[in-house]
Amino acid sequence: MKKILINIAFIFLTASCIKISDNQDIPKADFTIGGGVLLVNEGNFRSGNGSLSFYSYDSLKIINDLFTSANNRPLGDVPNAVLVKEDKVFIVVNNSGKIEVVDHITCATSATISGLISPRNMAFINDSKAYVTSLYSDSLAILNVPNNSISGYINLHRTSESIAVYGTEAFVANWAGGKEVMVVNTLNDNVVDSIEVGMEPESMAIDHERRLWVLCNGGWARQAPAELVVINIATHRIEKKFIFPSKVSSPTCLHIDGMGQTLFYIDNGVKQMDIYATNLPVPPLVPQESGYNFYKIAVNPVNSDIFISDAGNYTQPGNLLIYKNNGSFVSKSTVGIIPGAMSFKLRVNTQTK
Amino acid sequence: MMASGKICKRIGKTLNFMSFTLLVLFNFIFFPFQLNCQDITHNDTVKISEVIISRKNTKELRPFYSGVPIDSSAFQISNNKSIANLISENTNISFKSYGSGGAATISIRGTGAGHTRLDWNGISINNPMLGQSDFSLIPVSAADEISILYGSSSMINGNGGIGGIISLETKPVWSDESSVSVSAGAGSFGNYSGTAAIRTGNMHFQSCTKAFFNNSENDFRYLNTETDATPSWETMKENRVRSSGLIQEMYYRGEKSLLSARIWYQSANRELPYSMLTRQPGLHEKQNDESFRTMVSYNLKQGKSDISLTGAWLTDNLDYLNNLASIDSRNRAETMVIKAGIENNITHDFKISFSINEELNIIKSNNYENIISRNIATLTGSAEKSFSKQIRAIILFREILDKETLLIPDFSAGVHYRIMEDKDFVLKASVSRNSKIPSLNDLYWYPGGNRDLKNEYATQYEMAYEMAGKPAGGLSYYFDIEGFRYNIQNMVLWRPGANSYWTADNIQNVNSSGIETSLRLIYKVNHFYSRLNGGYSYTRAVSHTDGNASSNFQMAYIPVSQAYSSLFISLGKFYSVWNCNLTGRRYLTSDNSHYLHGYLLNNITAGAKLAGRGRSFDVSFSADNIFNQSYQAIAHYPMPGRAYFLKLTLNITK
Repeated sequence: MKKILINIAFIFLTASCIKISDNQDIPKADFTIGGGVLLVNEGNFRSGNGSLSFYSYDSLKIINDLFTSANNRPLGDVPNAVLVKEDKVFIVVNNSGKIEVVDHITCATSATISGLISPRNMAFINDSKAYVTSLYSDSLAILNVPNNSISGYINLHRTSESIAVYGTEAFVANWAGGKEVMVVNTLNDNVVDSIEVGMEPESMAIDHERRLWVLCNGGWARQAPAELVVINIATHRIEKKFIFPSKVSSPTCLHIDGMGQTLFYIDNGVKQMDIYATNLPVPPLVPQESGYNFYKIAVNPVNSDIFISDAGNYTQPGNLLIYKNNGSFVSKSTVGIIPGAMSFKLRVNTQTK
Repeated sequence: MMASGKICKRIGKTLNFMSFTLLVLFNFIFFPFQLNCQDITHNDTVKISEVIISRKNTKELRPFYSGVPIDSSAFQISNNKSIANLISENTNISFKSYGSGGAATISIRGTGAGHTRLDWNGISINNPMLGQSDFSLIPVSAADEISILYGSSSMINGNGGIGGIISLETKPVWSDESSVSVSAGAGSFGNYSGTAAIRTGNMHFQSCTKAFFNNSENDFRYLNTETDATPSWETMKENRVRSSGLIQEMYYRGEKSLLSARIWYQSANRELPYSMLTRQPGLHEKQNDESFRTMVSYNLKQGKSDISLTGAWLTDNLDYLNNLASIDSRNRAETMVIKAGIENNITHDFKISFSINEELNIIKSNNYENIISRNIATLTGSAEKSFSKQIRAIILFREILDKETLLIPDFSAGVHYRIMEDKDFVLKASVSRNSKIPSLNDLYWYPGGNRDLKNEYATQYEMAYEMAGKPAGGLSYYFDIEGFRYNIQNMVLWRPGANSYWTADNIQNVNSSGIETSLRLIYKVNHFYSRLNGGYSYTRAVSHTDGNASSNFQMAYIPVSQAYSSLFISLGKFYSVWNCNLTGRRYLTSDNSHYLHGYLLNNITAGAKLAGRGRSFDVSFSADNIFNQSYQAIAHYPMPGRAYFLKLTLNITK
């Protein structure tokens, strides 16, 4: 009996010392040579599983986890925006309070701009200056682009979300709980005006008629109907308002094509609207089929291909869906968790094959 | 000659035992180091403690169900820690901890934090808003006994414990003597704590007063491999925890009755630890928890019946401050409970019991649109029958009235078969339906609460084999192996939704199945005492969300493999404990593409207890995470490395 017990004890204790396997499959970094789309996958809030993907126009394939592969560390928590500026890519990582500056081909980090408060979006004013909006701070951060540093702040007295720049003015939307678009003179970094729009202006686009289109989603609890507001950039006056018919409508993610002629946004599918239209579109250009969860869109400025991120159930890897500008399906690729903002890295004459 | 022969025999037995002990020690000592070498490329971890866990003899506790009582000696050694530490270091139960000082939520057998109830003398003290408890806030010194009731076994105590119930018990010591116990200690990372307990009274009346406090800066060093291109050592900041509490218990014992009254006040102020990936200037997250719990109980033995009546009033304040996001969340939950029960031994082999539990929750929160109240009434009936000396069976039936809705009844049925009449070789099996009502935050939190949520319920199957005995001299053993399968329907999960808000939804069906085994060996002779505890669990928890592709993937943060062992040795005045705790890989994503490495923690405590007339003095020194491994229990939240703690305890009895 004692021997049995000894053997049991030995086996038992030995079993408790199981070697934990360590073989993590890290995708090899295929570099982002050529044209394509950079996409940030937000990941889950506070889970730190945000990532960077690249859809290559050359190979028609998606490459995931680029940042981790290139830098051997995670990108951060909730990357919210990505911008391409010449040979650099700027990735705004919201809940990590930083911007990663990476090489446009190797994705290796050349600088990390930290110390930002909940950064959301970014716009380049010129080659040496950029503005960064903030979900929680009352100020815009001013970046010194060549030095990769924060050079100052512009106090808006309210939080900020999307940003659009035209000429010497930057238009900054006060999204969370707000209903204004602030106007900043980019020459002296002063706030010069504020324009009251609808509840929670979420995204903006500028058309070729020098008009600012502001999509107000009405608030999370649908406190007000969503609105699409048209503002004359020269006068800062509202020219027109399109009121969405139902409070249930929750349009998001307004974009415009490269010609500044056709608007796109998500509202139970992707809807398309000419800037001269007199009414909101009813049938979507791309219906949201069962099983998909359209989250963000981007429009190729050259050929108006529509890129849609499908967030699925928000906990699993999502999809990147590509459609022609007539709404015909092109391809579907698996990306990271909660695929979000996209930025085009294009060569001249780039087209989907 | 005969005497020397006996001596030789004893020496022989002792040598046999020594060889066995050496074998055990060899295993203990050699393999941890081996693992260390194997894991040298990991950024994984360890954890430790100095507690002992054991199972009581199967005859003593719940013959048809599984349950793990934690040995009382563990309390003295770990009374400066939280019960999250105590349980995680001594069982196969896993915790998700946001680091030292951060919240710690429990997971039993692949279930979620909300599937485990924390009971205080039979009353649930889970926060009704959260539907769960933060185990890092409960000090070991608050309880005199802790039992862990898995799955079906928890249904005897109450509903909602699909994973199980952690039961804290406070009990009087009937004596004419009075005693004072004071313990104080200090250790690494600005950690100092103290407890005091005064017991006085006589054979009919007892009073027990306990006080405790804990302060920790938690300013440990950690290797940050995630923020910058080059890993760097950093010091954790803004991670202070301060907590204190007072417990008053009074007991009056009549000839056949017991009247008790208990009060428990506790507060904790915490700076919440930050993730390595979410550091931002001006974040300053803080949480203040304050609880006030009162309870009056009356137990009466009348004839063949045991009657019990308990009333409790519980309040929980939880305030969360986030300067950066301008969040000032203030939440107050009040709970009133009335519980009555009767147990009747109709014959010596047939027993029935009924109990009714009435619970009223009232919530005031600036995160709810209105003041919310909820009333839940529960009626439970059970019957237990011995069909022979070897076979017993139990059946339990429960009906729940949620506001004005009668829910589908829960039930449990179990059988207990003693293979041999005079031996503790026992087979046990049970099948149950166990349900859980969504928490009030799941239903009413603004934004994201979902008033249309369905109740979660599980079909649970458990089967176990247990054996216990005393094969020789001072040696005794206990061994068990248990298999389980839980099919959980309508599991509530919060998930990110549109506009970045999270919402609650019944999105998952989960099948959790596995095997657990544990072993306890005790050897004592003269002044020598040793106890070896160990266990291993294998858990497969797989979700089946409608239309998703994760059907065969392990659920996030549920380790497939876990193991623990502890070796307690005392010789005369001296004692030592060595704990090993192994936590396997934990996946972070539903497609299992990312994971945290497993980790092995080793803790050691050594001490001496000096006893005189009515007095004893105990001094102990402990080292946690002795191999200084870096690890994470939750991704990107670093855990502390090697930590030391010196503790002095004085007991006076008069």
